[in-house]
Amino acid sequence: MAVYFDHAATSYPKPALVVRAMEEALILYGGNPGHGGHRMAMRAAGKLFAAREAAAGLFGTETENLVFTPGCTFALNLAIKGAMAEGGRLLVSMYDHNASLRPAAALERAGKCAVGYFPVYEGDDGRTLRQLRQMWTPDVRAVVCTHASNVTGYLLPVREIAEMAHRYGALFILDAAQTAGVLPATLRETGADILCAAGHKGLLGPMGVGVLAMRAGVRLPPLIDGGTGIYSLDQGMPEESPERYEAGTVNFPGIFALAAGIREVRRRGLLGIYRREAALARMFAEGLRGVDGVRIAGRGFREGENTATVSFNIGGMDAAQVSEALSREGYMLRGGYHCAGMIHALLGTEKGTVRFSCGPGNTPGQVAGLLSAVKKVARTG
Amino acid sequence: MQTLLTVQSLTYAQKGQKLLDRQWIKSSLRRTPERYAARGCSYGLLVRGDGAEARRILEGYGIKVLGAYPYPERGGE
Repeated sequence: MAVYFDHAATSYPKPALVVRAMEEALILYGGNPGHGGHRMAMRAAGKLFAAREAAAGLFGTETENLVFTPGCTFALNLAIKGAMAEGGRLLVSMYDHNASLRPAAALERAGKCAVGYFPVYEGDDGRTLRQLRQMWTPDVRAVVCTHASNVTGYLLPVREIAEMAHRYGALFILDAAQTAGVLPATLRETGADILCAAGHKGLLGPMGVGVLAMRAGVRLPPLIDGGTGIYSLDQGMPEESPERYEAGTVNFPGIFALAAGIREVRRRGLLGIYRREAALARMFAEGLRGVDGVRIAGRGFREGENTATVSFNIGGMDAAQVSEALSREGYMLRGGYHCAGMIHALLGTEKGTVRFSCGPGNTPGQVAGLLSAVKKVARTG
Repeated sequence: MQTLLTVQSLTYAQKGQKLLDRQWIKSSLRRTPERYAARGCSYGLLVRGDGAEARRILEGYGIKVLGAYPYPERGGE
Protein backbone atom coordinates (compact mmCIF):
# COMPACT_ATOMS: atom_id res chain seq x y z
CA MET A 1 0.00 0.00 0.00
CA ALA A 2 1.24 3.49 -0.80
CA VAL A 3 -0.94 6.46 0.04
CA TYR A 4 0.47 9.64 -1.41
CA PHE A 5 0.43 12.86 0.65
CA ASP A 6 3.28 14.78 -1.01
CA HIS A 7 1.42 16.88 -3.57
CA ALA A 8 3.39 20.00 -2.63
CA ALA A 9 6.39 18.21 -4.16
CA THR A 10 4.53 16.87 -7.18
CA SER A 11 0.99 15.71 -7.84
CA TYR A 12 0.28 12.00 -8.16
CA PRO A 13 -1.36 10.14 -9.75
CA LYS A 14 -1.68 12.17 -12.93
CA PRO A 15 -5.10 12.20 -14.61
CA ALA A 16 -5.50 9.58 -17.33
CA LEU A 17 -5.88 12.26 -19.98
CA VAL A 18 -2.46 13.70 -19.03
CA VAL A 19 -0.85 10.28 -19.39
CA ARG A 20 -2.60 9.79 -22.75
CA ALA A 21 -1.50 13.23 -23.92
CA MET A 22 2.16 12.37 -23.32
CA GLU A 23 1.78 9.27 -25.44
CA GLU A 24 -0.21 11.11 -28.10
CA ALA A 25 2.43 13.82 -28.38
CA LEU A 26 5.20 11.28 -28.88
CA ILE A 27 3.25 9.27 -31.43
CA LEU A 28 1.21 11.82 -33.36
CA TYR A 29 3.16 15.06 -33.12
CA GLY A 30 6.75 14.08 -33.69
CA GLY A 31 7.91 17.18 -35.56
CA ASN A 32 9.91 19.91 -33.83
CA PRO A 33 7.49 22.79 -33.20
CA GLY A 34 8.75 26.13 -34.46
CA HIS A 35 11.83 24.60 -35.99
CA GLY A 36 10.75 23.83 -39.53
CA GLY A 37 8.02 24.49 -42.05
CA HIS A 38 7.09 20.94 -43.01
CA ARG A 39 3.71 19.51 -42.16
CA MET A 40 4.75 17.58 -39.06
CA ALA A 41 6.62 20.52 -37.56
CA MET A 42 3.71 22.86 -38.28
CA ARG A 43 1.24 20.39 -36.82
CA ALA A 44 3.21 20.21 -33.59
CA ALA A 45 3.53 24.01 -33.63
CA GLY A 46 -0.25 24.29 -33.82
CA LYS A 47 -0.62 22.11 -30.74
CA LEU A 48 2.10 24.05 -28.93
CA PHE A 49 0.24 27.28 -29.62
CA ALA A 50 -3.01 25.78 -28.33
CA ALA A 51 -1.19 24.80 -25.12
CA ARG A 52 0.22 28.33 -24.91
CA GLU A 53 -3.28 29.76 -25.26
CA ALA A 54 -4.55 27.48 -22.48
CA ALA A 55 -1.76 28.48 -20.10
CA ALA A 56 -1.96 32.17 -21.04
CA GLY A 57 -5.70 32.10 -20.35
CA LEU A 58 -5.16 30.50 -16.95
CA PHE A 59 -2.64 33.12 -15.82
CA GLY A 60 -4.31 36.07 -17.54
CA THR A 61 -1.76 37.10 -20.10
CA GLU A 62 -1.33 37.14 -23.87
CA THR A 63 0.16 34.19 -25.72
CA GLU A 64 3.34 36.11 -26.55
CA ASN A 65 3.89 36.76 -22.85
CA LEU A 66 3.56 33.14 -21.81
CA VAL A 67 6.90 31.36 -21.78
CA PHE A 68 7.28 27.61 -21.35
CA THR A 69 10.29 26.66 -19.24
CA PRO A 70 11.81 23.40 -17.98
CA GLY A 71 10.26 24.11 -14.58
CA CYS A 72 9.38 26.74 -12.00
CA THR A 73 12.99 26.98 -10.82
CA PHE A 74 14.13 27.84 -14.33
CA ALA A 75 11.35 30.41 -14.62
CA LEU A 76 12.35 32.03 -11.32
CA ASN A 77 16.02 32.12 -12.37
CA LEU A 78 15.01 33.77 -15.64
CA ALA A 79 12.84 36.31 -13.84
CA ILE A 80 15.19 37.13 -10.96
CA LYS A 81 18.45 37.22 -12.90
CA GLY A 82 16.76 39.14 -15.71
CA ALA A 83 15.15 41.70 -13.43
CA MET A 84 18.42 42.29 -11.57
CA ALA A 85 20.70 42.32 -14.63
CA GLU A 86 21.44 46.01 -14.18
CA GLY A 87 22.06 45.81 -10.45
CA GLY A 88 20.17 47.46 -7.62
CA ARG A 89 18.59 45.71 -4.65
CA LEU A 90 16.34 42.69 -4.56
CA LEU A 91 13.97 41.93 -1.69
CA VAL A 92 13.05 38.29 -1.10
CA SER A 93 10.70 36.78 1.45
CA MET A 94 12.18 34.46 4.05
CA TYR A 95 9.26 32.13 3.33
CA ASP A 96 10.59 31.50 -0.16
CA HIS A 97 11.82 28.28 -1.67
CA ASN A 98 15.47 27.93 -2.61
CA ALA A 99 14.31 28.38 -6.21
CA SER A 100 14.22 32.10 -5.35
CA LEU A 101 16.65 32.27 -2.43
CA ARG A 102 19.57 30.68 -4.25
CA PRO A 103 19.45 32.75 -7.46
CA ALA A 104 19.24 35.82 -5.21
CA ALA A 105 22.22 34.69 -3.13
CA ALA A 106 24.19 33.79 -6.26
CA LEU A 107 23.65 37.28 -7.69
CA GLU A 108 24.77 38.86 -4.43
CA ARG A 109 27.87 36.63 -4.19
CA ALA A 110 28.80 37.60 -7.74
CA GLY A 111 28.50 41.27 -6.77
CA LYS A 112 25.70 41.85 -9.26
CA CYS A 113 23.11 43.13 -6.81
CA ALA A 114 22.32 43.55 -3.13
CA VAL A 115 19.69 41.35 -1.48
CA GLY A 116 17.45 41.87 1.54
CA TYR A 117 15.31 39.15 3.11
CA PHE A 118 12.02 40.13 4.71
CA PRO A 119 10.30 38.03 7.38
CA VAL A 120 6.73 36.76 7.14
CA TYR A 121 4.49 36.60 10.20
CA GLU A 122 1.65 34.12 9.86
CA GLY A 123 -1.66 35.71 10.79
CA ASP A 124 -0.19 39.21 10.99
CA ASP A 125 0.10 40.48 7.43
CA GLY A 126 0.29 44.07 8.65
CA ARG A 127 3.52 43.27 10.51
CA THR A 128 4.94 41.51 7.44
CA LEU A 129 4.17 44.54 5.29
CA ARG A 130 5.62 46.97 7.84
CA GLN A 131 8.85 44.96 7.90
CA LEU A 132 8.99 45.00 4.13
CA ARG A 133 8.35 48.74 4.05
CA GLN A 134 11.13 49.33 6.60
CA MET A 135 13.59 47.43 4.43
CA TRP A 136 12.74 49.44 1.33
CA THR A 137 15.49 51.59 -0.15
CA PRO A 138 15.36 53.70 -3.31
CA ASP A 139 17.51 51.19 -5.21
CA VAL A 140 15.05 48.29 -4.83
CA ARG A 141 14.46 47.03 -8.35
CA ALA A 142 12.39 43.92 -7.66
CA VAL A 143 10.57 42.00 -4.95
CA VAL A 144 10.14 38.26 -5.13
CA CYS A 145 7.98 36.13 -2.91
CA THR A 146 6.12 32.90 -2.87
CA HIS A 147 2.34 32.97 -3.14
CA ALA A 148 2.10 30.24 -0.50
CA SER A 149 4.77 28.63 1.66
CA ASN A 150 5.68 25.13 0.56
CA VAL A 151 6.30 24.31 4.23
CA THR A 152 3.17 25.58 6.01
CA GLY A 153 0.92 26.52 3.07
CA TYR A 154 0.51 30.04 4.46
CA LEU A 155 -0.67 32.51 1.81
CA LEU A 156 1.37 35.71 1.73
CA PRO A 157 -0.32 39.12 1.28
CA VAL A 158 0.72 39.27 -2.35
CA ARG A 159 -1.65 41.99 -3.53
CA GLU A 160 -0.36 44.38 -0.88
CA ILE A 161 3.25 43.46 -1.68
CA ALA A 162 2.50 44.08 -5.37
CA GLU A 163 0.98 47.48 -4.55
CA MET A 164 4.05 48.46 -2.56
CA ALA A 165 6.38 47.33 -5.32
CA HIS A 166 4.47 49.26 -7.95
CA ARG A 167 4.21 52.38 -5.78
CA TYR A 168 8.00 52.50 -5.67
CA GLY A 169 8.56 51.47 -9.27
CA ALA A 170 9.82 47.92 -8.64
CA LEU A 171 8.92 44.70 -10.39
CA PHE A 172 6.96 42.10 -8.47
CA ILE A 173 7.94 38.49 -9.18
CA LEU A 174 5.64 35.79 -7.81
CA ASP A 175 6.41 32.13 -7.23
CA ALA A 176 3.06 30.41 -7.71
CA ALA A 177 4.45 26.87 -7.54
CA GLN A 178 2.14 25.96 -4.66
CA THR A 179 -1.00 27.76 -5.82
CA ALA A 180 -1.29 27.38 -9.61
CA GLY A 181 -4.14 24.98 -10.22
CA VAL A 182 -5.38 25.22 -6.64
CA LEU A 183 -6.21 28.88 -6.06
CA PRO A 184 -6.72 31.87 -8.37
CA ALA A 185 -3.25 32.90 -9.50
CA THR A 186 -3.56 35.31 -12.38
CA LEU A 187 -1.39 38.35 -13.00
CA ARG A 188 -4.38 40.57 -12.28
CA GLU A 189 -5.53 38.86 -9.10
CA THR A 190 -2.06 38.70 -7.58
CA GLY A 191 -0.68 41.96 -8.98
CA ALA A 192 2.41 40.14 -10.22
CA ASP A 193 4.43 41.50 -13.11
CA ILE A 194 6.01 38.10 -13.58
CA LEU A 195 4.43 34.89 -12.33
CA CYS A 196 6.30 31.58 -12.29
CA ALA A 197 4.64 28.21 -11.87
CA ALA A 198 5.42 24.52 -11.97
CA GLY A 199 3.53 22.36 -14.43
CA HIS A 200 3.71 19.17 -12.39
CA LYS A 201 2.04 20.20 -9.13
CA GLY A 202 -1.48 21.65 -8.99
CA LEU A 203 -1.64 21.87 -12.77
CA LEU A 204 -1.40 18.06 -12.89
CA GLY A 205 1.10 17.96 -15.75
CA PRO A 206 4.32 15.97 -15.97
CA MET A 207 7.67 16.96 -14.46
CA GLY A 208 10.04 18.97 -16.63
CA VAL A 209 7.71 21.77 -17.63
CA GLY A 210 6.93 25.13 -16.06
CA VAL A 211 5.66 28.51 -17.11
CA LEU A 212 6.61 32.13 -16.80
CA ALA A 213 3.74 34.56 -17.39
CA MET A 214 4.59 38.22 -17.88
CA ARG A 215 2.58 41.40 -17.88
CA ALA A 216 2.65 43.10 -21.30
CA GLY A 217 5.63 45.44 -21.50
CA VAL A 218 7.95 43.45 -19.23
CA ARG A 219 11.17 42.61 -21.02
CA LEU A 220 14.05 40.54 -19.68
CA PRO A 221 17.41 39.43 -20.99
CA PRO A 222 17.26 35.75 -21.92
CA LEU A 223 18.72 33.28 -19.41
CA ILE A 224 20.11 30.98 -22.09
CA ASP A 225 20.96 31.53 -25.74
CA GLY A 226 20.44 29.21 -28.68
CA GLY A 227 18.24 28.29 -31.59
CA THR A 228 14.72 29.68 -31.64
CA GLY A 229 13.54 28.84 -35.14
CA ILE A 230 13.45 32.51 -36.10
CA TYR A 231 16.11 34.94 -37.36
CA SER A 232 18.68 32.17 -37.58
CA LEU A 233 21.30 34.35 -39.26
CA ASP A 234 21.44 36.79 -36.33
CA GLN A 235 24.14 36.34 -33.72
CA GLY A 236 21.91 37.52 -30.89
CA MET A 237 18.65 36.24 -29.51
CA PRO A 238 15.46 37.64 -31.08
CA GLU A 239 13.60 40.46 -29.40
CA GLU A 240 10.30 38.65 -29.80
CA SER A 241 8.72 36.89 -26.87
CA PRO A 242 8.22 34.01 -26.16
CA GLU A 243 10.87 32.78 -28.62
CA ARG A 244 13.45 35.06 -26.95
CA TYR A 245 13.16 33.00 -23.77
CA GLU A 246 12.72 29.53 -25.25
CA ALA A 247 16.10 28.71 -26.79
CA GLY A 248 16.43 25.12 -27.96
CA THR A 249 13.75 22.55 -28.51
CA VAL A 250 10.90 22.85 -26.04
CA ASN A 251 9.62 19.88 -24.03
CA PHE A 252 6.67 19.44 -26.36
CA PRO A 253 5.31 16.17 -24.90
CA GLY A 254 5.45 17.76 -21.44
CA ILE A 255 3.77 20.95 -22.63
CA PHE A 256 1.09 19.06 -24.52
CA ALA A 257 0.37 16.99 -21.41
CA LEU A 258 0.41 20.12 -19.25
CA ALA A 259 -2.34 21.55 -21.47
CA ALA A 260 -4.36 18.43 -20.72
CA GLY A 261 -3.73 19.00 -17.01
CA ILE A 262 -4.92 22.60 -17.31
CA ARG A 263 -8.09 21.41 -19.05
CA GLU A 264 -8.66 19.01 -16.15
CA VAL A 265 -8.13 21.78 -13.58
CA ARG A 266 -10.64 23.94 -15.44
CA ARG A 267 -13.12 21.06 -15.58
CA ARG A 268 -12.84 20.47 -11.83
CA GLY A 269 -12.87 24.19 -11.02
CA LEU A 270 -10.47 25.95 -8.65
CA LEU A 271 -13.06 26.50 -5.94
CA GLY A 272 -14.06 22.85 -5.91
CA ILE A 273 -10.41 21.73 -5.88
CA TYR A 274 -9.50 23.99 -2.98
CA ARG A 275 -12.59 23.21 -0.88
CA ARG A 276 -12.06 19.48 -1.27
CA GLU A 277 -8.37 19.66 -0.34
CA ALA A 278 -9.03 22.13 2.47
CA ALA A 279 -11.52 19.75 4.10
CA LEU A 280 -8.85 17.03 4.18
CA ALA A 281 -6.17 19.39 5.51
CA ARG A 282 -8.53 20.61 8.24
CA MET A 283 -9.33 17.03 9.21
CA PHE A 284 -5.64 16.20 9.42
CA ALA A 285 -4.68 19.31 11.40
CA GLU A 286 -7.53 18.79 13.86
CA GLY A 287 -6.58 15.14 14.23
CA LEU A 288 -2.96 16.02 14.92
CA ARG A 289 -3.95 18.22 17.85
CA GLY A 290 -5.10 15.10 19.68
CA VAL A 291 -1.76 13.31 19.29
CA ASP A 292 0.60 13.59 22.26
CA GLY A 293 3.94 15.17 21.44
CA VAL A 294 2.91 16.57 18.06
CA ARG A 295 3.68 20.19 17.30
CA ILE A 296 2.27 21.87 14.20
CA ALA A 297 4.56 24.42 12.48
CA GLY A 298 3.22 27.94 12.03
CA ARG A 299 -0.42 28.65 12.83
CA GLY A 300 -1.61 25.40 11.32
CA PHE A 301 -4.18 25.02 8.61
CA ARG A 302 -6.89 27.68 8.24
CA GLU A 303 -9.24 27.64 5.29
CA GLY A 304 -8.67 30.64 3.04
CA GLU A 305 -5.30 31.35 4.66
CA ASN A 306 -3.38 28.22 3.71
CA THR A 307 -3.03 25.76 0.91
CA ALA A 308 -3.79 22.17 1.92
CA THR A 309 -0.40 21.73 3.57
CA VAL A 310 0.38 20.98 7.22
CA SER A 311 3.89 20.70 8.66
CA PHE A 312 4.52 19.05 12.00
CA ASN A 313 7.04 17.40 14.30
CA ILE A 314 6.71 14.60 16.80
CA GLY A 315 8.54 15.43 20.02
CA GLY A 316 12.26 15.61 19.39
CA MET A 317 12.18 13.00 16.64
CA ASP A 318 14.10 13.67 13.47
CA ALA A 319 11.72 14.72 10.68
CA ALA A 320 13.35 12.45 8.11
CA GLN A 321 13.03 9.49 10.49
CA VAL A 322 9.35 10.21 11.10
CA SER A 323 8.86 10.39 7.33
CA GLU A 324 10.60 7.02 6.94
CA ALA A 325 8.50 5.49 9.70
CA LEU A 326 5.30 6.75 8.04
CA SER A 327 6.53 5.43 4.71
CA ARG A 328 6.92 2.00 6.28
CA GLU A 329 3.28 2.30 7.36
CA GLY A 330 2.35 3.08 3.74
CA TYR A 331 2.06 6.89 3.87
CA MET A 332 4.24 9.08 1.67
CA LEU A 333 5.06 12.40 3.37
CA ARG A 334 8.18 14.46 2.97
CA GLY A 335 10.43 15.06 5.93
CA GLY A 336 13.22 17.63 6.14
CA TYR A 337 13.68 21.24 5.18
CA HIS A 338 11.63 21.18 1.95
CA CYS A 339 14.26 23.23 0.06
CA ALA A 340 13.21 26.31 2.02
CA GLY A 341 16.39 27.60 3.59
CA MET A 342 15.14 30.48 5.72
CA ILE A 343 11.61 29.76 6.93
CA HIS A 344 12.69 27.36 9.66
CA ALA A 345 14.43 30.10 11.63
CA LEU A 346 11.08 31.94 11.76
CA LEU A 347 9.03 28.86 12.60
CA GLY A 348 11.42 27.47 15.19
CA THR A 349 11.72 24.25 13.18
CA GLU A 350 15.49 24.27 12.84
CA LYS A 351 15.53 20.48 12.50
CA GLY A 352 12.97 20.50 9.69
CA THR A 353 9.39 19.24 9.60
CA VAL A 354 7.26 16.41 8.32
CA ARG A 355 4.94 17.77 5.65
CA PHE A 356 1.44 16.61 4.78
CA SER A 357 0.13 17.97 1.49
CA CYS A 358 -2.95 16.53 -0.13
CA GLY A 359 -4.37 16.65 -3.61
CA PRO A 360 -6.86 15.13 -5.96
CA GLY A 361 -7.45 11.48 -5.24
CA ASN A 362 -6.93 11.71 -1.48
CA THR A 363 -9.89 10.74 0.68
CA PRO A 364 -11.03 11.24 4.30
CA GLY A 365 -10.42 7.53 4.86
CA GLN A 366 -6.79 7.94 3.85
CA VAL A 367 -6.41 10.90 6.22
CA ALA A 368 -7.90 8.84 9.05
CA GLY A 369 -5.45 6.05 8.27
CA LEU A 370 -2.55 8.49 8.26
CA LEU A 371 -3.60 9.88 11.64
CA SER A 372 -3.57 6.39 13.06
CA ALA A 373 -0.09 5.89 11.65
CA VAL A 374 1.11 9.18 13.16
CA LYS A 375 -0.25 8.10 16.55
CA LYS A 376 1.56 4.80 16.23
CA VAL A 377 4.85 6.46 15.32
CA ALA A 378 4.43 8.97 18.17
CA ARG A 379 3.79 6.13 20.59
CA THR A 380 6.49 3.74 19.46
CA GLY A 381 9.11 6.11 18.08
CA MET B 1 -3.57 35.98 -56.34
CA GLN B 2 -2.13 35.18 -52.92
CA THR B 3 0.00 37.28 -50.61
CA LEU B 4 2.39 36.22 -47.88
CA LEU B 5 2.39 38.62 -44.95
CA THR B 6 5.55 38.05 -42.95
CA VAL B 7 5.44 38.70 -39.20
CA GLN B 8 7.89 38.78 -36.28
CA SER B 9 7.66 35.19 -35.09
CA LEU B 10 5.78 31.94 -35.32
CA THR B 11 3.80 32.80 -32.20
CA TYR B 12 2.68 36.10 -33.72
CA ALA B 13 1.80 34.30 -36.94
CA GLN B 14 -0.31 31.81 -34.99
CA LYS B 15 -1.97 34.56 -32.99
CA GLY B 16 -2.59 36.50 -36.21
CA GLN B 17 -4.17 33.48 -37.85
CA LYS B 18 -6.66 33.25 -34.99
CA LEU B 19 -7.47 36.94 -35.23
CA LEU B 20 -8.01 36.75 -38.98
CA ASP B 21 -10.16 33.67 -38.56
CA ARG B 22 -12.43 35.61 -36.24
CA GLN B 23 -12.83 38.20 -39.02
CA TRP B 24 -13.66 35.47 -41.55
CA ILE B 25 -10.35 35.84 -43.35
CA LYS B 26 -8.84 32.46 -44.12
CA SER B 27 -5.09 32.23 -43.86
CA SER B 28 -2.44 29.56 -43.61
CA LEU B 29 0.89 29.52 -41.83
CA ARG B 30 3.99 29.39 -44.01
CA ARG B 31 7.71 29.50 -43.50
CA THR B 32 8.96 32.58 -45.29
CA PRO B 33 10.91 31.71 -48.46
CA GLU B 34 14.60 32.45 -47.92
CA ARG B 35 14.66 35.28 -50.48
CA TYR B 36 12.28 37.27 -48.27
CA ALA B 37 13.91 36.31 -44.98
CA ALA B 38 17.05 38.43 -44.82
CA ARG B 39 17.72 37.48 -41.17
CA GLY B 40 16.94 33.82 -41.80
CA CYS B 41 14.00 31.66 -40.71
CA SER B 42 10.75 33.52 -40.26
CA TYR B 43 7.05 32.86 -40.60
CA GLY B 44 4.13 34.46 -42.33
CA LEU B 45 0.46 34.17 -43.12
CA LEU B 46 -0.68 33.35 -46.60
CA VAL B 47 -3.93 35.09 -47.53
CA ARG B 48 -5.93 35.49 -50.71
CA GLY B 49 -5.79 38.77 -52.61
CA ASP B 50 -3.38 41.58 -51.88
CA GLY B 51 -3.57 41.10 -48.11
CA ALA B 52 -4.41 44.74 -47.39
CA GLU B 53 -7.43 43.97 -45.19
CA ALA B 54 -5.58 41.22 -43.34
CA ARG B 55 -2.64 43.55 -42.78
CA ARG B 56 -4.92 46.24 -41.39
CA ILE B 57 -6.45 43.78 -38.93
CA LEU B 58 -3.11 42.35 -37.82
CA GLU B 59 -1.56 45.75 -37.27
CA GLY B 60 -4.69 46.87 -35.45
CA TYR B 61 -3.93 44.17 -32.89
CA GLY B 62 -0.28 45.14 -32.60
CA ILE B 63 1.12 42.43 -34.87
CA LYS B 64 3.80 44.03 -36.97
CA VAL B 65 3.70 43.01 -40.64
CA LEU B 66 7.28 42.99 -41.85
CA GLY B 67 6.54 42.54 -45.54
CA ALA B 68 3.87 41.56 -48.09
CA TYR B 69 4.99 39.36 -50.98
CA PRO B 70 3.13 37.81 -53.91
CA TYR B 71 3.02 34.05 -53.51
CA PRO B 72 2.56 31.36 -56.17
CA GLU B 73 -0.95 29.87 -56.28
CA ARG B 74 0.23 26.26 -56.13
CA GLY B 75 3.33 24.33 -55.33
CA GLY B 76 4.89 26.72 -52.83
CA GLU B 77 8.07 28.13 -54.33
